[in-house]
Amino acid sequence: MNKAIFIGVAGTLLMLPSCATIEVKPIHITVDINIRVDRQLDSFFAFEKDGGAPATQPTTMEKTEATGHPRAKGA
Amino acid sequence: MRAGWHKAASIFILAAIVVTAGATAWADKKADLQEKFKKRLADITELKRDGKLGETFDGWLEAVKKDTLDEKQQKLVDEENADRKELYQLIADEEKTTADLVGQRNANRNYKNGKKGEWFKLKSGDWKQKEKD
Repeated sequence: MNKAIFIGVAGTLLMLPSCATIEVKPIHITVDINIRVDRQLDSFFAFEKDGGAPATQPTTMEKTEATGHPRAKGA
Repeated sequence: MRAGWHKAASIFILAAIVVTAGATAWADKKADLQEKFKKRLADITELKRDGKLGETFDGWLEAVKKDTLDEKQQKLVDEENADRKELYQLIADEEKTTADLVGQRNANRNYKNGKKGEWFKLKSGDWKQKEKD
């Protein structure tokens, strides 16, 4: 009787690691694809980080010219 | 025997040329697309700040309210989305996934980088304004 229980428990324990691998693998692959796609997108759109700056520059330049002040030497 | 080696070497060189040419064409296509995105960025950023344009949950640019864009603005949105479609497919092919997934990842990225007050379309179809940068 005890032998039968021991064999049953041992068999279940041996099966557990393979079950865990089957369940974890697809999650790992999905995360991996998401990370790779995120990296591609971050790299492609890296120029966006300083994208807001040019919109304000022309306005500032126009204002400076409109004041008509001569520029300082060496500036 | 020697003829066999020559044939194998020729096939290898031909395959290398085809792979290199494919990779170069792919990089060129991406560089072209990047230039187009760069040119539109300032206009799109301004329209987002004005609350006219927003980002959707699946990676597209859209008018927050229907019939509020003029012809030029609508053309800008259409061109942006056409180029996004092409980019999503390029990345999907390279990473062996779907363009839809790339679009969703880009939507996440857009939300993360979005500024306070910008509009985002949820799966439900409702528009929500971002509360924090």
